[in-house]
Amino acid sequence: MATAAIDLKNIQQGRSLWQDAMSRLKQNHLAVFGLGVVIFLILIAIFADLIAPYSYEEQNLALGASPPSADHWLGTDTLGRDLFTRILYGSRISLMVGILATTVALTIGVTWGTISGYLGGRVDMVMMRIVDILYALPFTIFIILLMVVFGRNIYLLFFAIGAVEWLTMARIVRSQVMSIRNQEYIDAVISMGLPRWRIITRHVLPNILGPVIVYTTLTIPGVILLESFLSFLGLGIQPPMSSWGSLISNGVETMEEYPWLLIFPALTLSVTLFSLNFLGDGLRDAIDPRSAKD
Amino acid sequence: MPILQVDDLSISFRTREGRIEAVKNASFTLDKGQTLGIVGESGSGKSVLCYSLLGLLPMPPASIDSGKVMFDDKDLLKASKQSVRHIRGNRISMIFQDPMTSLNPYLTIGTQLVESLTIHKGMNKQSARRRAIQSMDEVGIANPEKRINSYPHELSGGMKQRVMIAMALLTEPEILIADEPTTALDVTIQAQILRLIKQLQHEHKVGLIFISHDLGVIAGIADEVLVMEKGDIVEAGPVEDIFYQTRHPYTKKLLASIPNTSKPGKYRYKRDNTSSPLLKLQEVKTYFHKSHSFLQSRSEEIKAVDNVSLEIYPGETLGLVGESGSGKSTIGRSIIKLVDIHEGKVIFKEQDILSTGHYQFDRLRHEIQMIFQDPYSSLNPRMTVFDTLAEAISLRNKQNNKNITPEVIQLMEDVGLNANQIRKYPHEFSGGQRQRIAIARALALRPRLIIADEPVSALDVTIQAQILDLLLTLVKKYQLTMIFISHDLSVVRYISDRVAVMQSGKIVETGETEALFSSPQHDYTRSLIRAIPIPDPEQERLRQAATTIT
Amino acid sequence: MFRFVLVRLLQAIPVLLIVISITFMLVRAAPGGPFDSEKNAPPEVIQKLNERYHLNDSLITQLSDYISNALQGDLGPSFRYPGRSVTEIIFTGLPVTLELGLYATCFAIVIGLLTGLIASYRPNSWQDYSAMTFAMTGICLPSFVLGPLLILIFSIWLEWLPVSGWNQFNGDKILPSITLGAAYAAYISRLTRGGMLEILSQDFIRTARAKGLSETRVILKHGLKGGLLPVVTFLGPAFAGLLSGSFIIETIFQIPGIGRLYVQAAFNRDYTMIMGTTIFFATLIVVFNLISDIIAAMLNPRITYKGKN
Repeated sequence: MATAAIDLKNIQQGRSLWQDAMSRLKQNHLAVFGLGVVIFLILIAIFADLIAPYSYEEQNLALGASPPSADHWLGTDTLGRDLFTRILYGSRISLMVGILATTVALTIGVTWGTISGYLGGRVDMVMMRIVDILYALPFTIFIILLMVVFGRNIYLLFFAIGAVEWLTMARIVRSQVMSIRNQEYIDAVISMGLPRWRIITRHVLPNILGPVIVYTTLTIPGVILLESFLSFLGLGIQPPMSSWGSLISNGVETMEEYPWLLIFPALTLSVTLFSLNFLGDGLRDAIDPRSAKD
Repeated sequence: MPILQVDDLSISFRTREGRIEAVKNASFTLDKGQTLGIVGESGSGKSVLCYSLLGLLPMPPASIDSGKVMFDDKDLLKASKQSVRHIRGNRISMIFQDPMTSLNPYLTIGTQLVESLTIHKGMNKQSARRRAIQSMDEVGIANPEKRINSYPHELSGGMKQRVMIAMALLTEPEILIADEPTTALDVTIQAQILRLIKQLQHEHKVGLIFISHDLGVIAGIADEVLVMEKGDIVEAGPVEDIFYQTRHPYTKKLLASIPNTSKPGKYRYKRDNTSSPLLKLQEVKTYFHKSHSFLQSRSEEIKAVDNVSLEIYPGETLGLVGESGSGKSTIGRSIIKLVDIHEGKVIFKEQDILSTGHYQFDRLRHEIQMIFQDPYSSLNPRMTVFDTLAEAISLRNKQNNKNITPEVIQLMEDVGLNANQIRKYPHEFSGGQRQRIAIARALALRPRLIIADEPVSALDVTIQAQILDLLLTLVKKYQLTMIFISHDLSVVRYISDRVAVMQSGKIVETGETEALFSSPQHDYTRSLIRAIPIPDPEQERLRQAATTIT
Repeated sequence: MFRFVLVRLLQAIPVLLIVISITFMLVRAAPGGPFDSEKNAPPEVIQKLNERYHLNDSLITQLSDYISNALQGDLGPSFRYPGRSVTEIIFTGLPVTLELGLYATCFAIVIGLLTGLIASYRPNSWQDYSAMTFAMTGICLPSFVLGPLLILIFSIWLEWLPVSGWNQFNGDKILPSITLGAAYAAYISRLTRGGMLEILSQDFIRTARAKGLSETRVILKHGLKGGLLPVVTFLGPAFAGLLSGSFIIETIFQIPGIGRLYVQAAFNRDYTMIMGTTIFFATLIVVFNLISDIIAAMLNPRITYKGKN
């Protein structure tokens, strides 16, 4: 085979769409900033024990609520607990809820959406009708109900939030799968006789990964928000554990006298939400440069 | 005294990769009642040039670097926005390529027609409406009083383009710019629309700038022609000079690329009459059910393929030709079970494909491969060329994985691609190169039958010629049998040994290519052949004269 | 059109039945009965109370009784406020919540459309960036953060507006309405921008420009109708979300609406009250989704009223 003796050293390396997307993302300063903040938050949540200057339960009733100082960077609450430490530990709860519940949503949503979109026809119709009906349910109210009825159980919370968020994921995945399904390269591999599961894993899923990553990034802040909302109402995390929502709720009660107790947790939550949203928007623009909208 | 004079016009675009010069130093004039044809391939700058005349380019990213556009003693490029707006759509009108997307889907035809008149001519709504109805009648829309209240989606493509023409001519403009106005239409509709434009231009004495990639269309409509390549006007002159005394090598290349319907193709295969057919379709029916909603039990049945019988012999190329919606693609997809057949038999190598089991069919599948129309969606964007081809090879050859690389390289060379590029991704290739990769993928399974579904319709004419020749070479080299599906009769005549003509799900005529083209038996075939524009001004004039009489 | 509305209405029935059943089952599954807090009450009294409220019947009977009553607008008596029916209590809170929701919606639409249109008129200009930063802020500042912050700034530090209340002091409706509407204003703004940019890049907008229409006419006559479709479809769920989201605002600002009743009922285990308000909210959501679907269908001539494709 003389022709095959091509100079393999001269092979040109291609640039995959992922590499293209990453280089576009790097040019988006807001998204890079968001990514930085997210990585920073994850690190401090993991190493909270090492970083925290105090124990999160450690009270100093004599001190009471004190404004920010050299000893207590963000001040202390009414029981004299260090606010910085409590926010630090709160980030564990918030991020954990965000990531775990999103994983639940991701798993159910991608499976449901892929099956529905790939098979199409009656299966799709029934599966999507179910999603439609579930969509119409007042889920926030149900979650509140659930927390009231079964008590404030953090695992139940993960599950409940994940169970709500998968609906949108399923819809997005389905529409993506359907549009990929209509691409001619799927027809090509079908007519080559590639087994169905390999078509799905090699040709369908890699091509919907982009939108799925984007939507996942945008779901996490939504979930964090929902948890904070529940904790704010007193239906999420139980004391003495704290999440950002419960810290904000405590802050509101005393905001007239000790405004820092409201401002710092609120700021942390907002910066986190900002970063995740910027990152998600940036990823969307980078992965699909045409969809720089909405 | 020309009505429009363009001098030294240069336009560039700012992109991420840098500045791109879209139009370089273009100069031309247009006289009253004259038709100026602008011809070029995609990216030649022909549309950009025309959009710039009316200030329709988005700026930025576009910018006009130099030049003048003189109309009515005014430089349109320097005139105030307001005065340009008064000329635009009033004294210079435009028709666009795709009538499906060029009309506002949220407004009725009437609203869209009337507003031109109320704005430019200061007419009141009632008289504008009367005038609009009259002009719809003029462009051949039946029942205009009723149609005026329709929304665009309620009209066919040809009707929409008629509405666009009516809209453009309502204000009695001096110049009409038509940007590929028939490219999105079927060939018979194209012929009607071209005739209409010509007739109206004659009646209204407008100067017409007609942009097209199709030399046949240009030959029939233009008085003067500009040939554009990558932003340059490489050749300009009267239409006869361009076609008969071609000077520029690019124009020569363009002309050489057109598969001319008046000339038969290069290769001809002689069928051995004793051989039995490789593939036989027996009374195949493929229906689609179009149901609207969950609760609606009554569903419409569309007979995409309606009782088709066909035989394909080993080594021949069968051209399957028809207009959009004729069911020609559905036949191709029915054969490889991409769509389910309702009734009938598909017999490949003496085996009924429909009654074979899944496992057996997968083996048969390797022997029938398909090449698709759109080179942009027929390759998985996340896989390198190597991965795409290797996947196909490993499907055929499940045990031996060692020889994959040399085989991939062999395939790349077969389709004329540089083997250095095997690690690249589809988006790094041009349309023609991608189509080569798709052909390589089909060949990787060593098929006996290739179904090519409009494999060149998305490509520029020079690339089209290359791909057609590649297909012909490969068919010969590997002794392939091919079903070549296309709407383009010229291409089909060039490549096929035998032709089958389809109309609304039925095959109306089959025959040896030359016999069918020289003496078509069926009326529909005759009207199709008559509708093809010939890239030769003299012959095109004769053809048009002939069609207007009948 | 009639058919379309009918189909949508028919679809709403299973939704509402599911809502009622789930709510009913969930509430019944709760540990502890409604009268457990009456610690001193002798068992006979509890028994009597249970009988009076039919708590001893089988669950299915209770559920079917409840559904048939609910269909007649009777959501049963309140466990917490003896002598008052749930329907009655809901209707005392409803006007307040509706008024709050209405102001918030108006705020959201006006601000959202305005900023969205400005942003889409000149994409990537400073106007666009500031509008979108505003929108992002609205999304990232949840109501339970925004509300207290606004109170802190405008009521406590600047002393311009009252801290809480509804219809008691001058201007006490301003802060709650803004707080409730802000996030929706942000969403509407982003949707408007996205929708308009999408439409303005369509071929038919080029046609409109080629006809020599003024830029204002191009945007208002040819762009707006299609560009606002995503906003219209969002409005239904938004208004519903706004109403059910109002309980946090009502709690923060101490507004006597249904939202606060709901939260109280949840804490008090007032079975009938929880069920009543849940069903009420669900109905509202279904109705508003229906309305926005119908409006969207009227705006888009291509939807043939035969249901979603």
